Amino acid sequence: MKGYVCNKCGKVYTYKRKVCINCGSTSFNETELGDEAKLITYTVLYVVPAGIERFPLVLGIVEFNNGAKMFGQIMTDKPQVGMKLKPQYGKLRVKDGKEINGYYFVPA
Amino acid sequence: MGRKVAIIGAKMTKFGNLIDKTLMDLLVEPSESLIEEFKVERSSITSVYVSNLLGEISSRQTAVATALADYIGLKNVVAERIENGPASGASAIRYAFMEISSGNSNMVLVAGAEKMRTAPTDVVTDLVSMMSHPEVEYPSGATMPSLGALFARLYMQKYDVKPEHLAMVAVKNHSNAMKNPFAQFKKEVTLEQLIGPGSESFNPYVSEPLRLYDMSPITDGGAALLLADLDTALSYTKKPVILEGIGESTDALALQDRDDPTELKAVRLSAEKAYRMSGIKPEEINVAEVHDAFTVLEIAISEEIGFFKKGEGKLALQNGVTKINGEKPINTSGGLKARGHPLGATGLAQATEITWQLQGLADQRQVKDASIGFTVNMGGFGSNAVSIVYRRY
Repeated sequence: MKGYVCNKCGKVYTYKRKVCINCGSTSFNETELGDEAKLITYTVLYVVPAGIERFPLVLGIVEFNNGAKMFGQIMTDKPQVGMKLKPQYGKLRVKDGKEINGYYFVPA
Repeated sequence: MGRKVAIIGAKMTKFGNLIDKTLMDLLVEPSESLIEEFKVERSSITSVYVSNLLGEISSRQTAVATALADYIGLKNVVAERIENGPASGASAIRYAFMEISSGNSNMVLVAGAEKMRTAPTDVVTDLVSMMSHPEVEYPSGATMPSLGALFARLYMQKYDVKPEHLAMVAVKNHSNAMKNPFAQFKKEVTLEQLIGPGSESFNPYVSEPLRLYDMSPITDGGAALLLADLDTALSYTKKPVILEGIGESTDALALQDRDDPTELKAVRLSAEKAYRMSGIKPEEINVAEVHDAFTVLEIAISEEIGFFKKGEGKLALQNGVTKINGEKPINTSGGLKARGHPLGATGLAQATEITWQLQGLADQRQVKDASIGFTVNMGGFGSNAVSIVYRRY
């Protein structure tokens, strides 16, 4: 998966930004985040918002090897802190009748 | 520094499921009640700020501040709606503070209200989650409880906070709300009910590790404050409450982008700014209302605002320090948890409780000799916070 590293302070983002929130720099380089991430926190959500078709919905924050953190859906019934995950691209939810796609995580 | 700014009085509607009240009712009732009680000439009020998040969706209504000015006969005034997520109420107070402090107005009405109970739960859940990061949180289905739960798991792990600590917040705040006639919940709960054997049916998981009684409810309600410069305030009341300091701070919008996701940096920095402006230290505060949208937040916030050291908030809670008769009473109103959390009205309800405490009007929940109060109102999940320090005249 692709990420973006701030050329000034080195903060790594999992999505494209115009300005670094840490140092205000506007210069970024693309970087490879790798395909392996570790689950650092998760929740099993039983009250899901309109537009989400999964129930219950497992959400979490994962950390890539270079320290970049990313929030996302975790496709497992048995989430565990520390488990290895990999990103996959696909449908996340429906908003105003339109499908929204993006990255979610599956067990590695 | 500009002029001293004071609260003349504060009013709120009962919070709860107010199906028969409109958004305008919830704004007009506390506002009119203030004007009547303090016999205010309507022409003395020159600005009105209204905090509200969901008017266009809940009530097909925008420009609600102009509507309020019209409904209560304020002619040719400044009227603006303030939206800063669930911190809108405290933000509206901040605008009024700056306007009076700078000498631009002598008297300002601040009102806030929300109608949340009309839409189905999944729709309200979606509406409230619109304040999350539009690219990296919302698309995956982030809700405020889910972000609260991700925070809770990390925070509980780091500081060895147990589910019983979270339950203690709910037990305390429900008990406080029993003494508050304006609170949504009138129901004592026990630790046994919340976390004992078989508690899963009474207190089901909403977003693990958070359960139903870790969540603030969905609430309709309104509240209003009348603010003036101190001299003007003294011509209406002998018991004005002075706003000694106000601070606001943002943090990264997305939880994933914060360096340490167990910190509530916006809360800490907003409190530090308010303390600095007021010259008052956290040790001097007698009573506080904090943003317990989730039980875990009351514990974490009590540390970020300097009441207790990191990791010791749970001990203060456990030892009764934060009870009404404790050394550092927190959420005497019942908090967001049990008083209720009508987004746009919440910051004003917090200020109302502190005003009543400092004016000696808090009845059965009165903190003895309270002279300095504090509120912190959070916007988003920790991405914005507004802190206020109050002092009895």
